[in-house]
Amino acid sequence: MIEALADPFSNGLGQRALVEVLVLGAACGPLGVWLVLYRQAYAAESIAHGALPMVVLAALAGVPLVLGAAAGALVAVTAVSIAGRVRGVGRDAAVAVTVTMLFGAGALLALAPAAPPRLEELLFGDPLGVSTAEVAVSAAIATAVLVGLARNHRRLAVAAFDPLSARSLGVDPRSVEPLLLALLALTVLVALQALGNLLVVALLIAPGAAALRVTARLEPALGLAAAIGVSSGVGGLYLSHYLELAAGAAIALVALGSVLAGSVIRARIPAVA
Amino acid sequence: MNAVLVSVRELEAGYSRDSAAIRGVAFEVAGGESVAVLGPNGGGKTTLFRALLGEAPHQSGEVRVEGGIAYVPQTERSRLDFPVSALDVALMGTYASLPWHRRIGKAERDRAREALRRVGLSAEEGTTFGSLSGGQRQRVLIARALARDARVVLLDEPLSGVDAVSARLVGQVLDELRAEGRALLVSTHDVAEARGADKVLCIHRDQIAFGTPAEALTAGALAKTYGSELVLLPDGSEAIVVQHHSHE
Repeated sequence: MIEALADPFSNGLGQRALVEVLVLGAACGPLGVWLVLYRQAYAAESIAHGALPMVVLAALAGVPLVLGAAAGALVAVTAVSIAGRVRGVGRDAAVAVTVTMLFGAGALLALAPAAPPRLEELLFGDPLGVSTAEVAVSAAIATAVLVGLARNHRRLAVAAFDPLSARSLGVDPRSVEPLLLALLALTVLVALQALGNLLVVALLIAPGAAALRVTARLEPALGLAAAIGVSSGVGGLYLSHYLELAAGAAIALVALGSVLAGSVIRARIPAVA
Repeated sequence: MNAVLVSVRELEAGYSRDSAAIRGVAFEVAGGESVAVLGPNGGGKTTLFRALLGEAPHQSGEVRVEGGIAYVPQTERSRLDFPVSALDVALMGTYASLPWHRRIGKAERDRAREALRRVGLSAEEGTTFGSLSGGQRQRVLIARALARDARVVLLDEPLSGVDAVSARLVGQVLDELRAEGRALLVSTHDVAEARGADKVLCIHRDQIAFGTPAEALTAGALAKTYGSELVLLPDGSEAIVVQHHSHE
């Protein structure tokens, strides 16, 4: 039994993947709680998808992907912000068109016959392909995101619960949403490598959504979401190892399964809600 | 005479550069005084409160508030799906006095629990905010303002849609706050409620009247404040406002 549990992590690839999903799960879970509470799940998807062209260009140019992801997140946030202000078109429609256009451009580049063969991994991720340096960058940024969330916990709670009263409670509500989007952009840029452009949203949103199905208290939800994020990463790696599935897709599958499990728990034990 | 805690001079404020939502507002509130801010929906009561909170841009005039300000919004505007208990909400009132690096400690919890006790909700401290009744939620929001320990308290229609028990408890707490020397501004569109305040500010974009209820609640001032929404009873001594449910 112990051998079966240890086997997926018996070599360097598995060990680096394990550390990568642990740090990503620990950061994505709590961040996801706030994204759900601030109704920013669509922003998470928009930034991830909109970043694709720059990530692909970085891969084609041989530049570290994290730099491409950083530039991509900046382009996506800027494009989404500009699109949202176009007069005469609804914000959702303008953002959807912009993001789809950026994603389409990235997909064209990634899937073109002339592109390097492993470029499609940018769409679906490969936690088993991360280097030690990439794991270190992920750990540093995930730590920064967690510190950012902890440092601003009370501001985030006040502005989400009651923005009208926030100022009288010492919080400027206008500063809180940009802060959340900045933390989201940071997380997306490190999670893209492991989970891919299409699947990163699963680990960003599902653990938070699942935790909020199970508990009606904020602090327990944040802790539970971190635990679900980490468990989804580790569970996905086991699933990938033993069922020979793509690791990124397996992690996304387990994360989405947690939402279903959370809904079942809520339906069967309403007292937890 | 207590010190003046709120002083507003010739205030013009609003969200658009072209047109101010309120104009020519000037009044003072001393500690221990309650002022009913009376006006129709859309008349500028909420804009005035936001100007006092520093949220609505001032186009001209001056606002001065001493000793901190607490705001109690209408309970219908609070989020019912947010994962917080009554105690969590009351604790929010202590945040402004707590540096970010300091954890919430016993002193803050005691302050929040005492605030909940004052509004009669000690037994509900662990209950999720969204599962409380409308009146209980309003009392929790008042407890948050009590925990804030501000000298000036703004209440946005605190009795709107609350049950009789909650209304009685809210009234008691407001009396206690006045006795402690705090200044209260209570927005309402109920003339009868306004008569119970020390002073009344009638507002409909422009300031219509300010003074004691006898000075401010004249037939002429009410007619200007409410226009077609006002119904005068045959003896001319009472006024009933036709209420509706939209918000500013």
